[in-house]
Amino acid sequence: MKVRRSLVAISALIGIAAIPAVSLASPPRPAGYLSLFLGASAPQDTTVTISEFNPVATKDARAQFDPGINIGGTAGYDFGFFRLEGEMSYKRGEISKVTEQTYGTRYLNTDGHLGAFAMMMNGFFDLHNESPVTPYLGGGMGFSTIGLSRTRGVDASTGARNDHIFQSDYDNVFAYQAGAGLDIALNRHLSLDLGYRYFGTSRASFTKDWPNSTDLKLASHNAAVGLRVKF
Amino acid sequence: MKNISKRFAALLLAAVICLGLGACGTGDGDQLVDGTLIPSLPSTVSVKTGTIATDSWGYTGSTPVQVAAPSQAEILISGRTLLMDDSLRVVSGNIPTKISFSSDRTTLSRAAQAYIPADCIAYLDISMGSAKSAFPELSVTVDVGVAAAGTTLTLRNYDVATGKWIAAQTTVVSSTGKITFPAKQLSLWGIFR
Repeated sequence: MKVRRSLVAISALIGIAAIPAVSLASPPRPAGYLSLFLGASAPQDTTVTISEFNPVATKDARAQFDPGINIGGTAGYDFGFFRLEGEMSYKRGEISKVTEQTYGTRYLNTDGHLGAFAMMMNGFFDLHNESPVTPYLGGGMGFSTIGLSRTRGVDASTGARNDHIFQSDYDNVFAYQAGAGLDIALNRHLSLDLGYRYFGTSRASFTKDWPNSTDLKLASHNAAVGLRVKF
Repeated sequence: MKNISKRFAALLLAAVICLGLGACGTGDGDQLVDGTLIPSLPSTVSVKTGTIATDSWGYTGSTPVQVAAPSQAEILISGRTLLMDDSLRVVSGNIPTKISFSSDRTTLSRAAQAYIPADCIAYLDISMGSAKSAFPELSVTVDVGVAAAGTTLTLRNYDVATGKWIAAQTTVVSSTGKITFPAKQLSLWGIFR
């Protein structure tokens, strides 16, 4: 008898606790929203082409990265099943290794980073359902300022110390992203956003030491946790 | 009259003796090495300057570079040679070069002369700005005219920090009277018997 009462009580508690969530799994409600997110960015290995004219030399170096920060915010409008938003974000990766096959150089434990400040216009489709968890997918495009820091390292082959593997410079490039995530409703106005984005750019060309140039494309995997406030 | 003739004859004889003795005391200064008469090298210092370029990673271009050097020496830098300073930091940009050659060791600095072994034939001073070492080594060829073909010579590198001449390697004089050796250190090299 006592056991049955306890079960009923627990069931009742679970039911009461579920009421807000179920009610928030509610039909889509058009409204504006703001969000902030924070996470990690893991740039993919990239080929950095360094062209120099005195002496004439071209190097195709392979840069590898350690994950870095991914932070940003959005402002947009939820039309119900589709969201349109503007996004500002900053993501960066720490340059961990630079290798060059032709020259046989292997710079390990390098000190430098590659960052991207992006301004994007995104569109996401929300797949509303009966639960408080709304999957979504979509993408966007815009512009990004890619910043390459001065990069230092020690060549594992020769022990040579290079304080300018890459020179500090930036370039503005076209950027795009695609991603998906889960929007978990916490209450009528607030939701938790767990998102993944694949972010890429067109080729950035750093020409501070013109006519010398350093060219690369950035592509990164990004994960973030965010809070979205709907008005 | 007889006396005058005698005096003139004695004077003439003395002059002939003096000339003869003088002729016996002079030579052409050449040295006899292994039975071969070889003219000695000039004792002045021959100097040649120039520049070489390295990229932002400290490498020379992809093709070999001949460094401007005095006629007695040839210095070849192979393609993609890395130049580094004392602390192994890469050296980039236009690097001034100054190559000096002499067979007169008294033209060396006092510090370098202090501990120099006596059997020095010649020296070659390789100066390339702040670059102090090369990887891979430079190929250096020196015309050592005073040493006969087949002679084994010792190369010593002058260590500025200790003031000592450090034996680096030995090399054999070729049939053309030249020696060729790899030089990693861009500094003062002495050639010794």
